[in-house]
Amino acid sequence: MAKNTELNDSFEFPGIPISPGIAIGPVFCFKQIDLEATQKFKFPVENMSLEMNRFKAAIQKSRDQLNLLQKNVETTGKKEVAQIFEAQSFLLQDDFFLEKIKSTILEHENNAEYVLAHEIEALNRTFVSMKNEILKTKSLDIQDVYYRLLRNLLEIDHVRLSSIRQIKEPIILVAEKLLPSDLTLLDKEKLLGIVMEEGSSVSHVAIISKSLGIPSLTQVLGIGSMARSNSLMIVDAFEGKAILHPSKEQLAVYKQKQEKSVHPSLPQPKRQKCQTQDGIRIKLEANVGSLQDVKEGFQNGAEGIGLLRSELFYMSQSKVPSLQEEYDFYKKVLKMSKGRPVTIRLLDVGADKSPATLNIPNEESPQLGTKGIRYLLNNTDLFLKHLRSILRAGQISTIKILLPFVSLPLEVDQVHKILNSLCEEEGLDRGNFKLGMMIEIPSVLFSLSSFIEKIDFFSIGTNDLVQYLFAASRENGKLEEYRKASLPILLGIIEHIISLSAKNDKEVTVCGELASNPILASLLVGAGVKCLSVQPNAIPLIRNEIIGKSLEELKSLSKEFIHTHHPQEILNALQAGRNKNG
Amino acid sequence: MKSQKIKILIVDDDPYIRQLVSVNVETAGYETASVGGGKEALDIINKNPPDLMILDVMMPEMDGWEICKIVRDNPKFENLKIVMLTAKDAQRDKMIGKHILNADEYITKPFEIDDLLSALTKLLEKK
Repeated sequence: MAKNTELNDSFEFPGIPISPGIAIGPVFCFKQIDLEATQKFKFPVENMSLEMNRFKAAIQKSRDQLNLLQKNVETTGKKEVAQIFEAQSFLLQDDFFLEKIKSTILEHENNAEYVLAHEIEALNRTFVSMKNEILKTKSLDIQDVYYRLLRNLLEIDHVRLSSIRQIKEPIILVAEKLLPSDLTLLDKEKLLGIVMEEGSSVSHVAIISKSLGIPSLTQVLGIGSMARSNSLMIVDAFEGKAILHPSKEQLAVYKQKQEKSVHPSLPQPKRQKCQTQDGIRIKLEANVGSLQDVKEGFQNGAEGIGLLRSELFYMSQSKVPSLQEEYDFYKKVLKMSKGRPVTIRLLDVGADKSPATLNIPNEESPQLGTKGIRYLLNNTDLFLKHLRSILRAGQISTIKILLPFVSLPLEVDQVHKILNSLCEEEGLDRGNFKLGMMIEIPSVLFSLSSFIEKIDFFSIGTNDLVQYLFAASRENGKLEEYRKASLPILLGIIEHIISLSAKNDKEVTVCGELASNPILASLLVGAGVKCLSVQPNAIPLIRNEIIGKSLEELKSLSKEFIHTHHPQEILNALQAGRNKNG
Repeated sequence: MKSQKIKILIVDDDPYIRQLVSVNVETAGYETASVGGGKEALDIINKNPPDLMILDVMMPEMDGWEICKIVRDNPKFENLKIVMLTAKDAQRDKMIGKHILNADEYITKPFEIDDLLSALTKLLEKK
């Protein structure tokens, strides 16, 4: 990681991009208020009635703060983020938890902070020991709420803002760990970038970072202890690295990159089609999970929605949505799409990714368990309601249906039967609904011809495909090197999928995070990919990358990359070429 | 503050406390400056950092907890000692001051001036 040990020498830290972009600016080291002492110090309570009132007052204050936070976020139009704080507010209405605290205070006559701190610690131990990544990241939401409650008990919640208020100029926020409400402390205008040591790329903190459209990295190990406030930093949330104390040369290179990269929030001058210099059209679509994402996707020139993650809608609701509620959501998406194609992936849920409202039981190895299409086929009532809402919405304009986590041709057969039956019940023309499947499980690669007859299109989910092919968890930042080394093999596999699909006239889209990286996207195009579905704010960057090259050039690069044993060298050279040519 | 004496900044909105403390601290051989609020304190700290700050907790506009956090979050002031003065609930505030916000010492009002001077000696001897 660090090439030398002098304090002001340039250090480069690898990390996982959450939200693309480049940021250059001074560091501000954000420090959480360490409340560990509340577990150690026990104070006798002289007046139990006063202590209870103090506890109730802290709960009410915390609820009021969260309500205000939710309202303030709603005014910015970020409904998905507002729902995070709404859900946090629900936690403070958990009577069981609060009654437990109250009865423990009464029984042991200990102060409220001491009792609460121990309950939080017990909760954290429960979540941290779980292998389920979603539950682990939920523990951050719980921490966020109960630490707010603790700070209000101690009457020091206002102190949290104190350091932040001193910030006069825009900064890059660096922290070991961030909780969702931490990102609401600073005005967006003062936030150039976010760099965290801990945190999953699917956590609520990640969702908020993405919604802010600010270059962000996570899993940047060691940054918390190395960075100092006011030091200069470069955040490269394309390549996935943070450079502390950059050299003059590095600064010059990155300033040029920054000027060349199109800011996602700027309106596109015209709806420029994405085609290579030799006239080959490449379709750019958006990966979305919310109406805000849809809006941003089309603002950035998306030609359609290549992946609508329906489970994110479920996760944003406080109860399982009714058929009507789900239909209304898809209707809004389709109206915003104005006839452009929309691909809805059926609920991709399971023990590793589960809306709390579905009460999905834990499994031993959730990433290899009952998820995606397996879960749906095992929960027929939910599946039918879910599918029915999609089919009804499909009367507004064309919807493509995408099956998640398919491993066997039998699963596709079963879905066809269900689809045929539902279309008949609803009086709909089955031919209006194209059916596709994700390619993310390695078994599919060895039986592709069995699937080709049964589906209309494929969508390659590179995140999970890499994870399962190379046994490298997508959430584990320490395995980044393995993922990078796997790229040539992955590209070769994709080239094979494209070739076979083309012979059978089946469209293939690549929708994983890989496609959101401009250089990797151009290599995918060189391997024959004609449709990419990416994060909304990556669309202008990918377009710029592709229109600057010919397909012949990209084919040649792709071929070289597939056969290389040194992928990083080629990637570095391509990056250097980008910098030179602008 | 131009001499080589150890510099102590007194931050308290009560002018009586400021005078009482500064007279006694100067008699003990230190150089002092006094301000009545957090904003003035931060101005002085940023321009001419003292060696130690005696900081009242209960002040209008910006309280001692906030000033303590701001100073502790800034690596430029990592050697600045902080002694907190408070009249509030002693046990809880001591936990907040010393163990949560990392002040160096904590003294409850009303206090004996000798206790304050002992705390200063102890903290500044470590420099």
